[in-house]
Amino acid sequence: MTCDHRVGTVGGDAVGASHGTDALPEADEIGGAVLERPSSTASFPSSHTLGPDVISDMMASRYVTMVGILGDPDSGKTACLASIYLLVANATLTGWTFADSRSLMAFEDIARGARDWNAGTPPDQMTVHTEMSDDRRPGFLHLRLVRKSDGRRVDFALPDLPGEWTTKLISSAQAERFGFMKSAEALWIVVDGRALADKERRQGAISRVGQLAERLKALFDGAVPRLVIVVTHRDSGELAQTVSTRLLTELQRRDVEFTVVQVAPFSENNAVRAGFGIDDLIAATVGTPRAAPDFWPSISPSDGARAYLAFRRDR
Amino acid sequence: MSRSVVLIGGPDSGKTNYVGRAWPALDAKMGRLQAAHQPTDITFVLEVTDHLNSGHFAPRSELADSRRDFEVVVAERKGGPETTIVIPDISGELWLRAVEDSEIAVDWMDELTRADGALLFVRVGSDQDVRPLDWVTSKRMMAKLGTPDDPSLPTQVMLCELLRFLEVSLVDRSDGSRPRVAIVVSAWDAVDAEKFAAGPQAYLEREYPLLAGRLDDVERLNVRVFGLSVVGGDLKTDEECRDAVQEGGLDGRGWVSDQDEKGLWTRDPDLTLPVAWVVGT
Repeated sequence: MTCDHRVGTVGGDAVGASHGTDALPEADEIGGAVLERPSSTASFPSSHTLGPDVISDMMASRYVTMVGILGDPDSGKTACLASIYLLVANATLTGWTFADSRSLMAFEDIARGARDWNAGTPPDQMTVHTEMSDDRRPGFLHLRLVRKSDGRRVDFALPDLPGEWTTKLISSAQAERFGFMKSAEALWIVVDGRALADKERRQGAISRVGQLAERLKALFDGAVPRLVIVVTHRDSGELAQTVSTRLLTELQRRDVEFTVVQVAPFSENNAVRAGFGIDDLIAATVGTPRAAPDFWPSISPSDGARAYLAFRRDR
Repeated sequence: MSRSVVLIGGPDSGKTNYVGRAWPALDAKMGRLQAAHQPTDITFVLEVTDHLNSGHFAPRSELADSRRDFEVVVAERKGGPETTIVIPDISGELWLRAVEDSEIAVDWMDELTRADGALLFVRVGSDQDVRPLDWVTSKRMMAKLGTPDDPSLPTQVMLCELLRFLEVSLVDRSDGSRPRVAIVVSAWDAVDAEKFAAGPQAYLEREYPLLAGRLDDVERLNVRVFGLSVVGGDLKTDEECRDAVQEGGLDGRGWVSDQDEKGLWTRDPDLTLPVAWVVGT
């Protein structure tokens, strides 16, 4: 019996011979180790894309704003995420600063997606197409930002999903993978601004947004969270008023409230800076905090009124 | 009593030169920490100190796996309680690899979990510094130069990840308080008077916004920022400084920038200060 990989047996027979090393005397014994022990390493928790279980644990320990991010392939979902990261990495996100990210390396990975320039020509897509290692489980990015105006810290859980998930949700109501969105506080529907500017593709794009809104109503039993229509490629031009009106009509007839934010995660136009509108997108996602009710309003008691039993009955 | 302080930082961040300068400072017995006995093995620190004494910084360690420990018994005052401090100096390349792979050799992980605290180094003006990708400037640059096959990890991302490693690995101090981490901004003599007055924290906010944000958010660690100049100047470019070291040695040279009670950043000639704070009560 010979084995080239057997410790202490260099081209010779292993049984009955004494070629062992001092470190591994058992190597020459029958049943002993045949391979050298690999050097062991210890792992730190990964800061690449996070699984739903990690996000769930995080949500159990602190308030996390879950954002559902939907949009057809190449609409600019990943570009929006990369843009947020690059803006905070360069301290240029208006009104916000970075505090933490449990998925810093994942952000770095998607930001570096814009690498393959062809002889000085930018690629058609600045970020790589999102593909999931597990097609059933979403991958999340985490980001904690601090709002400069009031010091509020906001934790975002941002899924980076392939556009095909949205396509299948629209076309065939495949919604089982979107279970995590039940806890979403805001939803982004990312639409390619170039499609809305193109007369031939415009109506189709708006129609798909309407169909998606209908799917979301079903998914959320009518109570759709804060909805933000994110129109990308603002650097290619501003959303025309007629398109805006058409979009409004499409969603109003489905009884869905929404906000439109125009963004330019990248810019090919010197007049529009890269990252245009991203701060508005964050603001629309966080929303305006509701005014806190007066915890114990002072009232003037009147004779005969059972004020205690009627407390807050009018709310 | 034995304590361990880990020096951590990327390539060319100033760790080794600090170890080489800290030994003469401990030996001079003028600072907050003093050497109680001459250590048995001072080969490593003497090599580095020799470089400094000759008017040159110690060369960067190119061996990713090299690890050199410096062990010294110190006391806060002469005749006071003695503490053995072990300072493992691990190369910056190894830390960089650890960040990229989220893995580290088991004995180094043991060192981290055994440590009482750490010094995290970042150097002003290092040619190893990697700036974060910026889409506006990068776009122009990439259009001209193309893109490297394997772009390096931005320095601030590596520093954030190292801080996270310390968060998950350092254990609470014996009195139950949070482990201490000194952020040491080395080559602090290279900044102008205005930046010096603003302090190293403000420098980090401007140059490394991700790290500055993390430092402001970290709850698990007790963090304090220091500026550091091991010899008071740049031995590569400052001829006057180099001559002074070659003529007069290291005594009286170098300082630590610390914030006083009024919030002003001042120079403290005690080079043991960051270690003394990390291991101190």
